[in-house]
Amino acid sequence: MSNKLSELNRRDFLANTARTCLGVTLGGSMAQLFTSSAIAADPTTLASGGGKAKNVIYLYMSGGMTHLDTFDPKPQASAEIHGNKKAISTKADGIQLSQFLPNLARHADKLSIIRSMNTTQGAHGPGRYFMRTGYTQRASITHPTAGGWVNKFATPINKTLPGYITINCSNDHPGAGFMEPNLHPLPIGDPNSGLQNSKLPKGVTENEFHQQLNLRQQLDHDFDEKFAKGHKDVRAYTEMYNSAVKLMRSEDLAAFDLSKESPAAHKLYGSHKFSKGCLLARRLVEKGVRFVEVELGGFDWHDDNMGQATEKLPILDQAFSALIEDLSVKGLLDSTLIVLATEFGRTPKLTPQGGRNHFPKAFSCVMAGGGVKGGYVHGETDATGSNVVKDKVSAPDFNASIGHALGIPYDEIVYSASKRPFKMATREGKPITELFT
Amino acid sequence: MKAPSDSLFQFTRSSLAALIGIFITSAQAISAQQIGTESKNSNEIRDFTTIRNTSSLIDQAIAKDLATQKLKPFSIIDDATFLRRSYVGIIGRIPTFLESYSFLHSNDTEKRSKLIDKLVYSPGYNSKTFNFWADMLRLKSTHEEYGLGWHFWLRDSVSQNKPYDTMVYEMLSARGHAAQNPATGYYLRDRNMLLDNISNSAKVFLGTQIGCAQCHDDPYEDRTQKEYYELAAFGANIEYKSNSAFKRIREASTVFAHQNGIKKTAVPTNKVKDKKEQKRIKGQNKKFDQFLKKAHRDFSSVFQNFNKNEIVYNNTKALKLPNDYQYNDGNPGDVVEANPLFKSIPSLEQGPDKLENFAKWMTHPDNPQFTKNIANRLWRHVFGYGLAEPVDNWTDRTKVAHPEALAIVEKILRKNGYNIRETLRILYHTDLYQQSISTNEVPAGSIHAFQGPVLRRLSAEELHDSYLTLEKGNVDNNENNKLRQQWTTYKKTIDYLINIKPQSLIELDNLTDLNEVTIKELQAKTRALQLEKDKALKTGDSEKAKQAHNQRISTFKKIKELKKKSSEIIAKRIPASSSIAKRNTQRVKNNGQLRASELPAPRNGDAFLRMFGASDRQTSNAAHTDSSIPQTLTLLNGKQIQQLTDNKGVILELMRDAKTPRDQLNILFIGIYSRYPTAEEHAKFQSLVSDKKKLRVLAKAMLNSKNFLFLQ
Repeated sequence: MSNKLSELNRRDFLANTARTCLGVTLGGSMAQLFTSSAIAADPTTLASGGGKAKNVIYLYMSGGMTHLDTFDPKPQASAEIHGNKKAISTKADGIQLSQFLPNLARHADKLSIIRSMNTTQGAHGPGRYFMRTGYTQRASITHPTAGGWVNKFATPINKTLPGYITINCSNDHPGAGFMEPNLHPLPIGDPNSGLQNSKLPKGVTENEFHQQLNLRQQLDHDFDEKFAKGHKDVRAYTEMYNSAVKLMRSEDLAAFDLSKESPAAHKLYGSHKFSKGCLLARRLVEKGVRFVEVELGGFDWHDDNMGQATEKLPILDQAFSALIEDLSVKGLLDSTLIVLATEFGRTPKLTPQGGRNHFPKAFSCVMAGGGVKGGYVHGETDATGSNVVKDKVSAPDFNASIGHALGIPYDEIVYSASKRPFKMATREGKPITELFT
Repeated sequence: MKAPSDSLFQFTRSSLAALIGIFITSAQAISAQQIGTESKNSNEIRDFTTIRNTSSLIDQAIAKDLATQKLKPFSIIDDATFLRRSYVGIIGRIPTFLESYSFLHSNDTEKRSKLIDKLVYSPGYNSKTFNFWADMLRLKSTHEEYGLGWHFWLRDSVSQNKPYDTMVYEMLSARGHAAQNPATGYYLRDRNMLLDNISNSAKVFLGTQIGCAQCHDDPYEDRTQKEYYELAAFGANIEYKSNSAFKRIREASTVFAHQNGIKKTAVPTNKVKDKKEQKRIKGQNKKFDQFLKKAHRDFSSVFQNFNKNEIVYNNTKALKLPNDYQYNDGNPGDVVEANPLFKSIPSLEQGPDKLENFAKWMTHPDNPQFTKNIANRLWRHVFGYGLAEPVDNWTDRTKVAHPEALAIVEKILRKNGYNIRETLRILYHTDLYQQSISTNEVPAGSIHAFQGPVLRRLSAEELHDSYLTLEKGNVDNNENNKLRQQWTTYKKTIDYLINIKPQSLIELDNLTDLNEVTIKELQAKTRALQLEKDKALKTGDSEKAKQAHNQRISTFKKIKELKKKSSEIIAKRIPASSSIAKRNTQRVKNNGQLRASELPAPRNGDAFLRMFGASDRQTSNAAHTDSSIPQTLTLLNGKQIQQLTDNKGVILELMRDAKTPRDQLNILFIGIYSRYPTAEEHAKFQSLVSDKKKLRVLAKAMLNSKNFLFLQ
């Protein structure tokens, strides 16, 4: 954390000073009462509608979510495109969703749907990487995801919980890339078991635990002397031990415990691992975690697209809707940006196996809450969903928009250890200002 | 479990005490034979002098390169560092106390070479090497039955030391049912995703990324979309269905029709003059066809569990250019002719079978990338970093750290017939393998000088297996019998069904029919509910829509259960099979004594192995060694470390008979770190060992330490 101070820009400094002057120590969940946004956003950001969000819940549909059977249905096209599935009217005038999303249809008045996403990456690994980081995959560096950038720029709300948490994400997640180890996400494997091993084992005293930490440092003294300076991996373990101990002592550990939620809340979100992940995300956001990503895998429907849609989409439909309802009841929807992303769309024409293949030329993503418009569609594809015909949006634009929503400097250069310059918005990303109220 | 021959468990407490006695009273070395660590396979071990001659060619090539850069190889490591590096590096776990002790006390001047050979020919090598391939091939054994077969095929290929080119050839040319040819797992892994599979084959076996060209010409690598499709066309004829099942179903359907007195007339209708008779025959044939169709559908359900686990070849199928093809060298919908990448190989013989041609081209010694790719990957496996990085993305701009060294390894592979064990053995016998590691990391993507290997954290599997060794001793010989049993049962089921007599199939179908009628009814119900839901949505009755939706979901569940029941009925009919319905491969009784390679994979996201970076088997080489908070929490508070250091733990048990704190600390350090404590460490920690509680705290700290987590 020490190098964080030196990187604080003027706005951070003012925000910090303000808090110090108020004479409050910011720890635990109390902190959220005193921070209005990620950082005190500058006037131009505020003027263009950004800077209202404090937290992000980023839902990642891994495998390439079909745009045609979700947010960009084409009921007027031929059957080999819509597969005899219908589009349904929604609470927002003039916006139709696929029949697979009846719950979200009821919340369409709170959604900003981007139907003009497109990418250059047609394979899963590089596609996911590009979507999450805004950069194409390179051997020489790992770029930070949007979550990494947020964790870097946004001052922590909760000083004892990590600012960035991923739930059920695949192994190839880039995390905070080249950034310092303490900015990397805390990965949760199974939301149901939460954060395992966060309490002292039975029969171990606080004193013994302390001794153990101490002895470990002594045992590693020579090793660290030799390797810590030259090896990031080695320093990272020191950092992770420190963070683990800090977390064990956090007052907000219960945030990871889903058993604290009522049966009604569990029912609202659903029983799937992803549903539980969304519920956990809401708990974490409530306690001031800046960025939580939840992954739902298995969207790669090369055969039986409709059959798989029938099984998978209700999970998404229910959990996403639950997040909107739950956050708005709790008064957190305006300060929480919900993002739905995926690596690419699917071929409009169904294959003989009833499947859809990879389709980078057009796909849909969604944003809700956090100061974005509701009942709004950005961009457009042609009659068959094959080409973007209006307002193309790229992954860098998408990431810049997340930055804009939080009021963080998405255009500020950060240097990697190898002294190369990088930006959250990359070289070409521009926020989609039309999304914001 | 019977204790393996060289583990601590064969010693009774008294003989262990006697051993410790020797250890304490005498500084004299005891030979390896005395404590039984000499390999059983020593007769197989060829003279390592010739091996070392080849190894030194590699060292010379590197020394020459280093000299031009005014660099020198790093110094040779001490015995203890070598001991740990070899055990973890070659067989994937730390040595047991006795293994360490015997090595450290041996006066044999050739003990390092002998250890390498002993390890390379031990069962632990198979475990470690299996993990290497499984990560590279994205092997999934928890998903479907074919995965189990593929798992054992790979496991057996490694222990037989099947030549690498043969292994790849068998996978790439695989066809037939998984039960009969489990190498088909390679294609079944990506069922209906042929284009992805082909991209992956290029990445894995050639180190070449062609994924970009799947959708558009790749401007960086000068590879066109057409080239991509031409490569993919080799697999164009693949279909994922069972022809043998189809035959059996047809036979049974015909017999069944006959039993019901329904027959097809043998006389062609156009030869019958009488109009009335012609009509009658037509009607009869139509009835027959309809009956057959229905019976066909009926009998198919018996085969549903494995029908798709077969690769067949359909010669009428062809790959076409995609609808949105935008280049001048072809039009959307054009049939694509199969063509390999790179320049042509004149000595390559092409037969009529496309898949075999593909496999031949891929594994041909003149394929410019095939040998280079595996040579570089093996290098990385041994030294922790490739001569060229990343190993799966060779381009025209790729820089190789020591081109001559890479060429030597390639030559070795071509000469010894892609013998992986022998090639790795040569690399382990290099001086480089015994040199110190650099105090600085290699910046990502840059080339490494190889004055020594690189520092790395133990892989998830190595950590898992090392903690296991500390707890249970050497368990390298333990196999996952339960998993093997599951696979055997599945194979028997398939064998039974693939050769089933029509009458037996008819009977079997009768048994499952009851379920089927219900399934059909339920399927009709789901359709009705869908309509009801749609209607409710239209009228805005969201409550009713939700109700219909939920009912529909629960009906789906019921259908799934019934389908499972049918599988159980089938399993019961098969001689000597317990049940194929037990598809949950996660639960294995003796899990606690099995090395990571024996467990079904991928594990769940929060399992120990995955938490420490074991591959999720989604993408090739997805394993990582990055740190995280859940890892350190597990190391601090998890049950693994607790178990190792409770009163029953092996280490404390070992220490009980040592007489002095000095001896106790020696045992603790040899057991965990595979080395003696330094004088300084004796001074710092000796006072802790006589207090049980403090000793436990110290042992935990050692197991948590970077000294343990990292491999020097």
